Amino acid sequence: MHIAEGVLNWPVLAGGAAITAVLTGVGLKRLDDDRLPLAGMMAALFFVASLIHVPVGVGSVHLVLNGLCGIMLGWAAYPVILVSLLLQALLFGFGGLTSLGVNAVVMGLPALLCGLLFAPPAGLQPRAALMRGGLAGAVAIAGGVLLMTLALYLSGGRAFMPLMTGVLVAHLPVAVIEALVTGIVLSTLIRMRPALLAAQA
Amino acid sequence: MNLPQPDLMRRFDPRCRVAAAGLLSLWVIAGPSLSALAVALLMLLGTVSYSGVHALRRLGAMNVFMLLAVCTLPFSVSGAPAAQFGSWSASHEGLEQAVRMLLSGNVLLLTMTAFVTAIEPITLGHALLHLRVPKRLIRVFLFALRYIDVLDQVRLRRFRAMKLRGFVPRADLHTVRTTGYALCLLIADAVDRAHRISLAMKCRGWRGEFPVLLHFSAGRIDAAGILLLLLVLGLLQVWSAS
Repeated sequence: MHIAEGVLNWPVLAGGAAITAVLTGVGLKRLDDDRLPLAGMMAALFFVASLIHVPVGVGSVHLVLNGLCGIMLGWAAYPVILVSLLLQALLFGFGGLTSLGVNAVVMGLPALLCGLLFAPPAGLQPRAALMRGGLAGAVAIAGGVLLMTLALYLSGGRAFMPLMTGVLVAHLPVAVIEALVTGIVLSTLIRMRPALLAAQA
Repeated sequence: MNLPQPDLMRRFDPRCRVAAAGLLSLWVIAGPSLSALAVALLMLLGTVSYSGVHALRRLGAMNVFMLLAVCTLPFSVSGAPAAQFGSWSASHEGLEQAVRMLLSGNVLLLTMTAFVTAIEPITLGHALLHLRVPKRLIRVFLFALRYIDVLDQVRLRRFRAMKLRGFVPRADLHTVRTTGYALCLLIADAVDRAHRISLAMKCRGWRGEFPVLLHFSAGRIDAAGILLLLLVLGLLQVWSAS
């Protein structure tokens, strides 16, 4: 779920960077010092989760988990995702400096949305949590793809049509896997460790 | 996971290297001429090959995406036809846009590789602190950096254990469910670990602040480096405009 370097034009890149600066600021403000180690650990976790591949047909997709990140961390999800992306850019060369802001918007905004919409209330049944998590996983990826195509459209207009179609098609299996995994994780966590999901602020 | 420090770049102050990468990136985004971009690409390739960072694999991953763009853009951008393939015509404007995308993408990635990647990540964290990136963000970054390896070991251990019990990943619901369970354990482990770290750090007097251990001093060589970069960019820009 990265937009490569050199694809977008400067107004879109600048816009993405500005949105990221503001949302990171808000996220950091709402992250108290006690939860700093947790936030760092979560950034590491989302980095590591992206190394987990699930086979689909002939290929495989890796987990993104931005929806789960939003549910678990609330506003703090944004800086955590930004750090995760920065680490991916540094260690793997996925994305880069200029597209960091836009890529953070692509994954972070849907995460925040999921945190608002799908954070489980106390005493939620595992079956309901499965549905909730599934929706969150699907919405997080769909939202990301939507933002990605929007960024491409704003940069290149109709000329980027084939690219946008490519992005949409490539992310269909991702959305399905993500919905299933997020649903299972949420319902299992509700049974296993409900306190983990109440940590959001 | 740390890349070897190249000799050439190591002599420069990390802050200056981050600033140089920013400067160069801005120049690329501003849209110089294609020939100027090509020259910049060659110069960067020279720098990177001298610095010994394995850049080719990184470039490969990005250029797979670029391939799609380069193959479709000439046909999807309307303009004066340059070539005809059956009923498909490739436009001059589309070709130019495709080449620009290819060149600037690679220049930006090489900029990152040449100037920033070779900085040891912890040093980079300190350099960013000195460049006034918010402290809390850097703390999250440093914590993440420290625990990526730890969590990855946990992940590998879990998946090894699953393999020993006969788990073979397939494209089915069982695989998805098992992956979900493994992930839950990973999350629980990470959160517990974070809690223990937080307690242990409080015992050692943590008040939410890391002392900044690394300080840098920019010297003549850094000033010379930045000046050289500005000079090269200036010349390329003049050449672009003419």
